[in-house]
Amino acid sequence: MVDTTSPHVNDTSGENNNDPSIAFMRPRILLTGLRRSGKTSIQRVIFTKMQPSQTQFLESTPQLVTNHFSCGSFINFQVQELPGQLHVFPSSQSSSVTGETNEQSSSYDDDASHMLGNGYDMERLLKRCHAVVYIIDAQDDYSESIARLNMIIQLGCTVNPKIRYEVFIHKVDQLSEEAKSDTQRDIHNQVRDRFTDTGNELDHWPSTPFSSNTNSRGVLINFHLTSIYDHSIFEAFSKVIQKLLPQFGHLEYLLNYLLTASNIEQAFLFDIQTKISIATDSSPTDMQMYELCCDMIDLLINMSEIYGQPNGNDGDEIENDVDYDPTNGQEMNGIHSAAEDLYQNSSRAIDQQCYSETTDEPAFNVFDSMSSSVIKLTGGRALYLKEINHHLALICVLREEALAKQAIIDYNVKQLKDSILKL
Amino acid sequence: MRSIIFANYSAKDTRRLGATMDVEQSYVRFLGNLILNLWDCGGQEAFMECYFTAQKDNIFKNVEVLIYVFDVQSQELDKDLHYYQSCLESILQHSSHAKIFCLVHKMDLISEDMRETIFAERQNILTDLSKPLQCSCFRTSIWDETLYKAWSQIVYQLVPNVKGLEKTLTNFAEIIDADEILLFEKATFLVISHCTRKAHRDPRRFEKISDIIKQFKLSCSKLTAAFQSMEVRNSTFACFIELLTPNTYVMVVISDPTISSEVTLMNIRNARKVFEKLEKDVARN
Repeated sequence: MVDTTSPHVNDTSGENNNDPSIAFMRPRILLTGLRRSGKTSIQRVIFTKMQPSQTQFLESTPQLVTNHFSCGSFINFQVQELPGQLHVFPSSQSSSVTGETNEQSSSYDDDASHMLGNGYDMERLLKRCHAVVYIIDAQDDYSESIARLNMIIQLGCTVNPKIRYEVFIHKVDQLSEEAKSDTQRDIHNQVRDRFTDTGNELDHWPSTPFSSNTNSRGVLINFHLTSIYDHSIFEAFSKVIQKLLPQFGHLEYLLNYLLTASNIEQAFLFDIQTKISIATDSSPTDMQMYELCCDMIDLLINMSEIYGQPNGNDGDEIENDVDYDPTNGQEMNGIHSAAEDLYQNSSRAIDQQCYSETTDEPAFNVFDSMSSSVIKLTGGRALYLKEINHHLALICVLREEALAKQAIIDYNVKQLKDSILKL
Repeated sequence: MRSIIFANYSAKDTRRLGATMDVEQSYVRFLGNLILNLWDCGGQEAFMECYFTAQKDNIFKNVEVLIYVFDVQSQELDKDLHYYQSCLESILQHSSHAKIFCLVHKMDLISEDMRETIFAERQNILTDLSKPLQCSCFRTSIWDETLYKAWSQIVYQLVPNVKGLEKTLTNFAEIIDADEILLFEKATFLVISHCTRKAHRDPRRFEKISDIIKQFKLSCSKLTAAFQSMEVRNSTFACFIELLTPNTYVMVVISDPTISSEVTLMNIRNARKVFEKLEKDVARN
C-alpha cells in the first residue's frame, strides 16, 4: 500500500552525517508490530510532543519511517518504524514483489529468511539494527502478534545474534493492576512456548521472572508495560536507549560519583526535548520521581518562555500566543517526517519517498547555558536542575540540608558537565 | 470552574462532575481570614424558575459578587438573556452594590479566529442589557489560562486593602530592583496584586503563570508532597517564588543575572515581616 499521493521529495539518504564512522556507531532501533498497535503514536508522543489524545487521528503508516534523534555530540539514534502491514512472501516471488499480492499467513513457518513486506527486506534491516522494539497491543487478541514476534526473533538470531529485543506490552492504561500482570505473564509464556514449538535448537529459557531473559544462545528479551497516556512509555523508552548507549556505563559511573561526593539521593540526565532519561545513577527509581522530573522540565521551559527570552524581543505585543500550552510543552522547530527507501530491486523504488527528519537543532532557545532551577518540596526534599548542554539537563534529588552546601554541588556538577562534554 | 479554582481539580477531572442540584453552598477560605461564601446555583430550568420566585430573598440578599456564566454554544441565547435580566432585577432590588461579572464560557469549542469577534459581540449585548448596572465580561475556558484571568479579576475585587498592598509591593520592587513582582493567593494561585517596573511583551502572562504553577502543584500532589518554593533562572532572568505571608506567595522576577539568589531570598525574608504586619492590620479592621 504505497502512498503515491505524497510529494516526491529529492532522494537524499536518511543519514545526516557524512562521516561514515559516526553513522556506523549510531545505534539503530527497529520499531515494529502489527498494524494499529501504536508505533507511530509512540514516536509522535515522545519525539514531537503530540498530545496522546490526538494520536487517535493518525493514519496508518505506509512506509518505513526513519527518525534521527540526536542530543549532543555523542548521542545519536536512529529509530526506524516499520509499517504494520507486513506481508510475507516465499522467496520464489522476490523478483516481482509489489504491494498487491495476497498475504500468506500460513507461510510463517517456512522461508522466514526471505521475508519481504511492502518491499522491505527484513533480513537487511535486522542485520543493521541493534535493538528491536516490538509493540503488542494488550487490548487486542495478541496471538498473531506473538507469532510475528517469534518469527522476527528467529530471523534475528540467525542474522544478527547481538540484537536486543524489547517487547512493549502497550495500551495497558485501561487494564487493572491484576490484569496487567496477568497479561505480562501470559505473553511471556506464549513467547517461550512458541519458541519451543517450532523445534528450533533454542534451549529452554531459565525461569526467571519478567525483566530479563536469556537462553544459552544469549537472546536478550525484555518486557515492558506501557501506555502513551502516562509516563510509562517514556520510562520504557528511556530504559531501551540507556542500554544501547555505548557511553552509558561511563555516565552511570560519573553520576554515582556525583552522588557520593555531594550527598545527593538520585541523579538523572534528561534530554529536554523528549524527556527521555539518558542516564541515571545505580539506585532504583520509581515512576513518580521520574514524572516529577518531567514536570519540572516543563515548568522550567514554560517560565523561561515567558520571562527568559533573549533581549530584542521586548516591545512586541503578543496578541495570540498560539505556541503556548503548559500541558503540552513547546512546539518543535524544524521537524519534518521521514521515509527511507530500502528496497532497491523493484521499479517501484521511485515512488518511495525520502524526506529527512532531524532533531539536531536545540529545540528551545530559552534553554541556555545558565538555565537552572531549584524546587523545594515539603518533606525536606529538593529538586535541582542544571543545564549540561543544549539538549541535556541534570536533575538531582536531594535533601534540603544537602542543598545548603550548594557551592560544592555547583562545583561538582560543573566538573561532571565538563567530563560529559569531553566524552 | 469552581472545582478547578478552589478545589485543585485538573481540567480533565471535571468530566466526572455531575449536574449541580439546586444551590450548592461552599465556604472557601481565601487569604487566611477571609471566608468566601460561594453559592453555586444549578442551571436547570426548574431551579432557575425557583430562584426568581420562591427563593428570591434568600439568594439575592447580601450579595457582593454575581458571576453569571453563559455557555457560548447555547442555542437559546434569548432565554439565557432573559434569565440574566431576571437576575439583574433581583440584584437591583436586594444588593444593588454588588459587582457583576459575566463569563462567556466554553470558548475552546469555538475556533480560534472566531473567538474575538464572537466575544466582542456578546460583550456588547451584555453591557447594554445590564444598564444601569455595570458588568465586566470575560471569555473563559477550563482548558487554557483565560479561566485564571477572569477569576483573578473577580477575587481582586474581594481583597481587602488592595491599594495598600500594591503600594507596599511597589516599594519592595524599587528596593530590590526587580522587574516584576506578583502576589498570589496561596490556595488558588490567583494573582491578587502585582507591580511591573519593566514593560513586558506578553499581556497574558499572569494567567499563564497561574496555570503553569497550578499544573505543577497538581503533579506534586501525586507524590504526596507540595512545593514550598522554587527558583528558575537562565542567562537573562531569575525568578523566585516564595511564601510571603501565611496566605500569599510572592514571585520576584529579576533580570540582572549578577544578583545572586541568596541576596534576593534574604530580601524576601526581610520583606515578610512588613507584609505580615500589613495583613494583620487589615484583619483587625
